[in-house]
Amino acid sequence: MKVSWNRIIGAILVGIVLLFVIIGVFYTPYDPNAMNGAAKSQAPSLLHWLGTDNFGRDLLSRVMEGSRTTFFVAIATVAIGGTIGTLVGALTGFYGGRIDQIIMRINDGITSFPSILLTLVIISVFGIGKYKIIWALGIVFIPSFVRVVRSEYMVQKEMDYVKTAKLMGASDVRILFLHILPNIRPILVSTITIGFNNAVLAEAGMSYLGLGVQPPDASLGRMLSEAQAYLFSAPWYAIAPGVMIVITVLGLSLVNEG
Amino acid sequence: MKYILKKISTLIITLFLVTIFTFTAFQVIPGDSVSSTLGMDASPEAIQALRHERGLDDPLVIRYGRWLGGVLKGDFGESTQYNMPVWNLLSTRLTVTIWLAAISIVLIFLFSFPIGILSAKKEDGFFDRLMVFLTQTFMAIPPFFLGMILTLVFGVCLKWFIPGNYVSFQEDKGKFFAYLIYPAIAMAIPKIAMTVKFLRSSIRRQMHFEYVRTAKSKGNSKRGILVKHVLKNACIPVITFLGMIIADVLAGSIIIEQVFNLPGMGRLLVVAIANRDYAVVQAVVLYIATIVVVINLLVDILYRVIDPRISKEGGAR
Amino acid sequence: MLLEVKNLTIGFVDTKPTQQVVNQISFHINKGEILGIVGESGSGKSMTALSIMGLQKDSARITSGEINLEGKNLLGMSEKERRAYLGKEIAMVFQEPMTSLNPVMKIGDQVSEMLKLHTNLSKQERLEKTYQSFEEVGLSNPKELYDKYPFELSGGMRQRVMIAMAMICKPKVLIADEPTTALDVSVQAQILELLKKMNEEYGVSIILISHDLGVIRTMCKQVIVMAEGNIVEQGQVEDILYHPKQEYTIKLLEAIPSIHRNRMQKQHNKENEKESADKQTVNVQELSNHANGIGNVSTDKMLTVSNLSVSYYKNGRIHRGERKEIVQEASFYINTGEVVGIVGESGSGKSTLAKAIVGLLSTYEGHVQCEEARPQMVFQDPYSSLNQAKRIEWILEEPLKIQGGFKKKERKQLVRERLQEVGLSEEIGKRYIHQLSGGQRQRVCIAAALMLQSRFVVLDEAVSALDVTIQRQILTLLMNLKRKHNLTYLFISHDMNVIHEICDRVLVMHNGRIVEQGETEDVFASPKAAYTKKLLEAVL
Repeated sequence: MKVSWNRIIGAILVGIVLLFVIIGVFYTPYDPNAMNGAAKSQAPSLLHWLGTDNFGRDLLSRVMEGSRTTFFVAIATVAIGGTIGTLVGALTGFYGGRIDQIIMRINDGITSFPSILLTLVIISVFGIGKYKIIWALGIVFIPSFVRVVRSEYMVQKEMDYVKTAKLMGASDVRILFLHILPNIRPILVSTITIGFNNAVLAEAGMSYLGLGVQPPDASLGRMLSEAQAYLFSAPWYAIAPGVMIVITVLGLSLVNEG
Repeated sequence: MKYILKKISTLIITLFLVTIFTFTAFQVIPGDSVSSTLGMDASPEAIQALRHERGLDDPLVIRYGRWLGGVLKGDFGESTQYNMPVWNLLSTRLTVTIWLAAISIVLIFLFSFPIGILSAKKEDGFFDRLMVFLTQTFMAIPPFFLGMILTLVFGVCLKWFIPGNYVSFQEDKGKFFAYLIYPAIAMAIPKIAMTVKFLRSSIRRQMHFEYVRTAKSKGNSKRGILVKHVLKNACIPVITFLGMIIADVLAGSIIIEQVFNLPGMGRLLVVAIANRDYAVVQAVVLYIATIVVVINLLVDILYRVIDPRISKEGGAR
Repeated sequence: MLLEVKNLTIGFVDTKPTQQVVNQISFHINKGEILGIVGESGSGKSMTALSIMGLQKDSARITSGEINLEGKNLLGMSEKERRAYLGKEIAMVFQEPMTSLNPVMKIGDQVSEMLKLHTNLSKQERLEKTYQSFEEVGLSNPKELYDKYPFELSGGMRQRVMIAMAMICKPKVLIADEPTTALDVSVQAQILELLKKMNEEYGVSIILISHDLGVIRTMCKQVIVMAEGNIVEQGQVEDILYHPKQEYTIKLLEAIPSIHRNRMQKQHNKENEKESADKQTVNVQELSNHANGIGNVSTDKMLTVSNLSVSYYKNGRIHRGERKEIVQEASFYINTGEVVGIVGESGSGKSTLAKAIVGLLSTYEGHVQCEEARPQMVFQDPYSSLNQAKRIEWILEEPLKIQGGFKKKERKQLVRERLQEVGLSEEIGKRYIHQLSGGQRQRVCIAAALMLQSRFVVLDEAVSALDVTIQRQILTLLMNLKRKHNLTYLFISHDMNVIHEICDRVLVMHNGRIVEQGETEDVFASPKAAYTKKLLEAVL
């Protein structure tokens, strides 16, 4: 990986976000869900660095908590979509044939539809909630992994090192995962990063619509949704979670692409 | 011509599959419109009676056939939430969503091409580097958050528009567009960033091909190389990308309408999902799906027009 | 003196300290002359040619020197001034005509663009002139051709188009950078002939860059030998090829396989009978006394192939398309300890045949019987045939792990032995392949093939991607290993010279059929099939 200014900035942003979230696991300045009637909708101050919301909850604590929920959803989404997608992509790419053709047609069909629409359909079937959104997004993310991994396997399987391995008597499983998989690692890492970013944005969007994480759980999207009504009276309420999303996604994409 | 016919037949098959998908997806859910109409504590007899009245106890295939028959005549059924035909709900909201998407798409085309070309023209120059950073930043902002920022800046601080004060197309066209421009910008900016990035890298990739060296060896200027040789090659992959962007903009309006309180398709859909008003959900999904499929067809045709390698090889792509 | 290069120095500026690729070179070309520049890859010959056109990569910078065309220094001009010369006074033909042409622009438009840039001709005149230029390079139906796109033409036709484009403004100098390297053998000669015709009819001076001494010999009077950015020798072709003074040139000449040299020598002797053969011809024979010396050829069959056919269905997406035969009824055998060559152009089916033999193809008709349970294969591109994500030791241990029954210590020991045997040091095992040179990579491939003690190895263009001097070393290694382990080789190559040098017997393939087979000496001395004759003619 080439070191560039963009990568350095990205790494710093990612570092800040990670530090922030890790501290949040052990320590938050206030209880993120504790309401305080005496400190409703306060602007940022020394007591409340990012201000408070309409219930007097400390926004810094809530952003810490909310990022954790959002990241949990994003990681789980990528884990589901990535695992299934990589497996399907590896097998169809390596073996090809009719089944591959059929799966690819379906895959192309699905990916040509906007992912928001697909997520909404699945949510309206599954219902609303934190774990349901994970499954909905996980399923929606499968085709993008299938597409990337499949095309990589199609290239790699034609490489002579795979033929050499075959001639040595290596089993297909060995070739698939021990020989080829390490060769597509850079692309896989990049796809996972992009997937994580998209999952963060998708969680935010769905929770913003009220279809994802439900109160009293804080997630970045949920917080933005609640902030909408107070955009005039307490704009900092929206800015804190929004900026957190931007820093996370920007940092990762800068590291990823340089 | 044979090609177009073939494409249209696949389009019809795809749409047919979409209708099956949208219809059956909502059949696996426990509970139906009856329970939401009558409430939780209705008697089993009453439920049974209403189910029979609405034809919900017929076999799946028959219900699908009935639904599809209706759809083909423009009848998407009745909304359980509003107690009125879905089509009546849709028609007014269509205007808003379509105009919103249209303005957004025009903005995307207007800005992304000049910026992308300028950025690629001087590889790694100041403008180029700045654009790389800006595109990454704008791609990282969720459109609805951008919408909130625009509201804050132009609505609250500068008072250029009154947030939430939407004026319908019928009432006053000028005010309608004056309000719509802000959500359109909120949707367009991240997509402009994506398109600029795509176009820029497409041009840069082409610049390293050997035919560029040949063009240079003929005595072409840098501009000549870019305009006469590189641009056409670079635009071929961009066509597919733009098709995707257009579909995304349509779907993106679902969220942005919420931010700006626009009575469009998206709001209708979100409310319908929350209230399990499936007739409406089906109709909206089908509508967006149809547009997406048609756009894909147009992209395919455009491809054949611009890339000789496809049109002369009998349409295999 | 038409074009003069004076003290030209080019360096890569992105490395520190600046790495010199071309070092203080000077040469010139007169009107109507054909000047050859010969050298291995990395010798700076292409860089020199590109810099005359101002086409060198951005990272390469001309640090000093002059390039004078009729006394005017091209390097002292502004970019705009210089552009007026490009295409009009100096034009260039590149190695790969497919990628060198714009894929989405009509052929005719690409050629007439040259006129648009450098003349004031009307549209109609440009059209006429383009048609005419097509005819001059031997392309018929110019009107039809005008509207075609590059992908619709064959490699030879594309290169003709490139030449038409370069010649349409009747430039004074034409630079041809490996113009035949990417083409099939049978087309190569035609393109060279065309270049010669251009030189004779229009008096254009040609700078011909090639790694192929055969090409240089037939085309040029003057030649420059380059190595590592320096001119090591320059002068008349006759003097340099038959009486090289510099050590490097001698080495380069020795690297040419014997058949080539013998023929060159024969021809030379014919031309100049008084001259006695000098010392060189003696040590030339070093490698080529294979047939009756190395290993013990027995009559035990290692491989018997009978009526082998391979075909596939074109466009096999969902519906089966047209059936295409790649190999048709091939029958032959290989005795244990023998080296059998298969020669043919790309697309002749030789690689497919090899894949069927070792068991990499699931569907074929006919019968293959091989005494070796695990025949191994060494491929053309060692970069692709080694796993890039793994260390060399992992790659070499892997076959032992697959077979099982080795302790870790034994595996390490075996890897060390093999590395040593192929002439690599132990520490190479810790590296990844991108850290090795081309020759080292190919040695690793050979070591990997020998890990399982296989007695039969298929070498598919195994030395074709290497520079001539490295090629020599690898061939020597292969022959030593063969002798040591009593190996049997099936040696596939498009290169008649290499085949002639190391094979006991040879099969000639053309369009999927074996058109001739026999003892190498017999086939080369008195070829029977018309196609074999053509191949042999194309060598020189």
